[in-house]
Amino acid sequence: MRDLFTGIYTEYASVPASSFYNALTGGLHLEEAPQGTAFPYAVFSLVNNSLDQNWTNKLEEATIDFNLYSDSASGAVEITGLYEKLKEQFDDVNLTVAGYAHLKFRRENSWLNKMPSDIPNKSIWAYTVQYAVLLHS
Amino acid sequence: MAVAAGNKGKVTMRTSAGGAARTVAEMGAWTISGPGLNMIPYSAFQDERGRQKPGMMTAQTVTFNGYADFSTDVGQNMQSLLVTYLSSGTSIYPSSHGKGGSSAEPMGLKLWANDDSSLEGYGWWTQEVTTALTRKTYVTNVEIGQSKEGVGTIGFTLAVTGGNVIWQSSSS
Repeated sequence: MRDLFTGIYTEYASVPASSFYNALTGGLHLEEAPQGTAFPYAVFSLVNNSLDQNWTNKLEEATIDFNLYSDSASGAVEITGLYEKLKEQFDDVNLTVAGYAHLKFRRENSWLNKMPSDIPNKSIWAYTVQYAVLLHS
Repeated sequence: MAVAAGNKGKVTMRTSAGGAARTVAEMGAWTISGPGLNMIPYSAFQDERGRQKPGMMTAQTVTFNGYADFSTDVGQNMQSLLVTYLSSGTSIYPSSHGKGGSSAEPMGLKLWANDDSSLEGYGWWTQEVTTALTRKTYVTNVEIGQSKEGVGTIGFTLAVTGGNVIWQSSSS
């Protein structure tokens, strides 16, 4: 899965910079963002990965979550904008994954939460977006 | 006792005599059905139970399936060749003996239980070599599928004529 993670990050940071990349001033991180990362930022993580092996090749199925975080005081404008930009860059993207032919990167589920922040009178918007991935060796 | 772990299986065949055995790519399962025996019922009034007697043996059917291979290497994509054999009615002989040594015919279909000779269950199923021209296999059906959930699938059905597919483990 290291190569899938690399492929996702390479796509995110591709040149010219995507609107998703430009909007995420706190960057995209794997599994967790460093303490004190500036908002807005995003974290992607591996929810599950299963291997279907036939006699000659391997088929990797994986679920990847993107978690987008915003502390914007002006409501959901920023977080929903990030979601649209994520979709624009990653929906059915043709990833380059070393050692694999890339078959599918399909958005399947998403949900939006508003959570209290550690800072009084402030809230965090969190958008979770789930993609189903299919790779073939 | 020796049982084979299925992860070492494969389906191979030669496209010509003396050619290399080539693997049908992306396969994941095979089945040999039969032979069977037709039973002829001849029950009559006042029989206490149905009567039947053995009739004719029925031939074997071979199926194997897996993911569809879309590679376009001419003459290398065995899935594509099998579809061609179906379209043209080309038979697969057990060996070149069955066709007088002809080099043009596909032959030597093997259904491997396990292709690792260091493991238990090493060996394959194939039609016994013979000079009889009637002993051969025909591709009779192909089934291809695609869904948005996964990758393309393909399955082949073959009719075995003239002699059964049998177990072998030490000779080709």
